[in-house]
Amino acid sequence: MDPSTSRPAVVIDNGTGYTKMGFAGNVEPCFIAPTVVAVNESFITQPNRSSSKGSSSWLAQHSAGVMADLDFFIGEEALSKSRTSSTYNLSYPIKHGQVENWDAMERYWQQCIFNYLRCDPEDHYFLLTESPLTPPESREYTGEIMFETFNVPGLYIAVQPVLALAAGYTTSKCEMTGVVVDVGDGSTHVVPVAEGYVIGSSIKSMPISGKDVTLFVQQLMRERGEHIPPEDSFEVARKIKETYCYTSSDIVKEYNKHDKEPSKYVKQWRGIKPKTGAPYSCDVGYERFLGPEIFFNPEIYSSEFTTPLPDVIDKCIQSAPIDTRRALYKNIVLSGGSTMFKDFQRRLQRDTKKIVDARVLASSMRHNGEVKAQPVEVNVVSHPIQRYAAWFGGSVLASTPEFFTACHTKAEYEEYGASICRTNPVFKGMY
Amino acid sequence: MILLQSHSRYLLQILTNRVQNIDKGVELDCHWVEFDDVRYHIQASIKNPHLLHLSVSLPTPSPETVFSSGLPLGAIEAIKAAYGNVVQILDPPRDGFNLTVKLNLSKLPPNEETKQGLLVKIASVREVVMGAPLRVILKRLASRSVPSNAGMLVPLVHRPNESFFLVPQYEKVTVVFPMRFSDSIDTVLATSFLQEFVEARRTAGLNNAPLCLWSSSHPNELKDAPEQALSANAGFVSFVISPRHVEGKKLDKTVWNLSTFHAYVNYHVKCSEGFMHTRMRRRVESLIQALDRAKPDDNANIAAQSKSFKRMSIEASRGNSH
Ligand SMILES: Nc1ncnc2c1ncn2[C@@H]1O[C@H](COP(=O)(O)OP(=O)(O)OP(=O)(O)O)[C@@H](O)[C@H]1O
Ligand SMILES: [Mg+2]
Repeated sequence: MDPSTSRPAVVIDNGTGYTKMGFAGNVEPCFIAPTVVAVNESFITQPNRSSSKGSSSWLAQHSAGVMADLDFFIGEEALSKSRTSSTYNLSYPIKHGQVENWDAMERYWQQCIFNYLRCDPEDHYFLLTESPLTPPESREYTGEIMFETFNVPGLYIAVQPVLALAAGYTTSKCEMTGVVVDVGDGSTHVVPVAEGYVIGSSIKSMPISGKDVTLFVQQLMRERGEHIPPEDSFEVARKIKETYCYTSSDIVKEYNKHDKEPSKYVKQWRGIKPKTGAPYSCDVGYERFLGPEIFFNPEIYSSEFTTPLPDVIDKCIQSAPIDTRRALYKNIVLSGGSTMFKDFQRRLQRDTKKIVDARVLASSMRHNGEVKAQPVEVNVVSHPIQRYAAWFGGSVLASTPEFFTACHTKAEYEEYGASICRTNPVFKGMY
Repeated sequence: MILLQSHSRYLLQILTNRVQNIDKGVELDCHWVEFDDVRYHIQASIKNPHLLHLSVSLPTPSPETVFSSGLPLGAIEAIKAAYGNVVQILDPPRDGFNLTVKLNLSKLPPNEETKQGLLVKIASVREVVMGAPLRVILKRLASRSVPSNAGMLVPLVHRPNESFFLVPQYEKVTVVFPMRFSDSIDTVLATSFLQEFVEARRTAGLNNAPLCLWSSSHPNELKDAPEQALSANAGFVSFVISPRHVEGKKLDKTVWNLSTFHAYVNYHVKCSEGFMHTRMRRRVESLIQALDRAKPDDNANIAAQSKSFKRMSIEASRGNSH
């Protein structure tokens, strides 16, 4: 028997903002690190003088290039390197859920495996994730890197929302039908899944996600004239967002509450200026509820996209095959860090239900009340591991025995080539 | 980043978090595996937030290496010496593990710096346990005492079913690593890496580093070694360690670097492969660009339209944040 199947599989969920990595069978990922690489570009960007000086300088340049390839950091270390030294440039390998820079991605994985998880990739099967709209070519690239650079014995590339759905049903029944609302850092997808299969034609996206909430909070605070060092303001806005933002049920009422009792609602943020080390503080006010509001009233943030998230969900389900719709409304599952705002679930449930009820009412009016329409059950499901639901679902699935048989193995890769990575079978345990 | 650190990053994170949030100590039950098949399991309950049970399993030793009651020689003493009363060894260990200890966080020293130092040391438990026999021999070298087993071959486990070998002598210890790789490309890369490595040792700046040799067939030191230890598809590396390499603080580092030498080479082989892929990708990209330039213009438009998900112009505002 392959001894690597006796070890827990490595599960890595690479997101636009954060990478969740760990071992199958655990409840939590070992590390949640920003998906960013700091590369030392000073070697590469040196002026090209090779032509005049001949081969010795070519050699020097070549080895400088080699050094640059080895001199890099990832995650928090990358961020702090770039803050303290100008020789490091940040590169974000994933944009809007898609890998855009494969060199940076390969380095990122290398560090995840060897320096964070500290495991030998030859010893473990791997489960990686991808966003629902990833093109097959990208899967081939991933396969190539995993099998050729890291020699992994087996690989499974799972679709993030499918994993998030699996995360919700660990114990008794394993229903793999539902709509996953994945709101991450760089992408928001509403993905209907029936019996473990994504209904591809009905996937809906929204160009507003966690990063936009951060930008909006940053903008509101800047406009109010809060004194935050500009080089730090994005990070501070993100932290303020994660600590203080919540979803209100009605913004007008919320404004009133804040105005009546500022002492209760206005929070203080204290920071230290990165350059001088001097302490500063600022107020956190309306942005606490205005930030998350952009999912429900996008027009306050963007003039181009104005469809609220509940409408996007409704449209998604309405475009799915008619016999799946009731089941889909019944199981709307939240996933991703930007669904963590307090009362997000409650608001989404209420607003979605409102749309559905209005439609049911309209339809029974059309029939003059002769045909009584069945009420539609709307259920937005929230669970404690929502923040990294995709990772957790991966952890659960990769610890079933069927997982190992559903993986592509190195032997198959060597026989058939990277194209085998284009598809991964849905396997038992998923439904 | 080139050298592996001796502590487990994850274990240290768990310990530090626990110490910082001792009053909200949550239920904890995690398991993970490090290189060379060292497995960990850690458990804690809400009832006794300052008590943690840590279990470690070591790579299966090959027949020639000696374990006493499931642990390398000298491991128990090493644990006691390193951790004092913070750690209590439980006998028997948890099923499937070589060692289970009870960590009592309330017995950590109050001084922040020594506390942190001890946490790092606990997170380095594999070094303490697996490096124990090596440390005993190197310590004797540091004190320049004549070893009782002078000239004898001492096998020590470092990977599942694989050992490396020591020959302790007065004033020096020779360490021999049979190097094995499972993938054929890795074997080739490792072989040339090791030859370069030995070559690099000869450069002026490294005069004080241990003497280092590589050979494709087994060196004389291994003439009495068992048959299965002598099959190494990437040759044999020997280091000659002298007392000055193990003086004072250097001992810990030398123990760690030697016991993870194989992992170090493996890591570098993977880095080189990644590096070559980067170069190949750049090459392919530049060829594709050249091809694109050769195509008539209207093809480019089709490519732009076929993007599956068109972004709105919010994009522009994102640009300056990153
Ligand atoms: N407690 C919290 N409250 C609100 N937002 C949070 C919280 N924790 C994290 N976030 C936000 O969630 C986002 C990260 O979520 P997640 O890790 O799901 O995204 P990702 O997987 O990196 O991105 P994507 O799925 O879009 O590729 C960040 O914008 C982060 O600021
Ligand atoms: Mg995600």
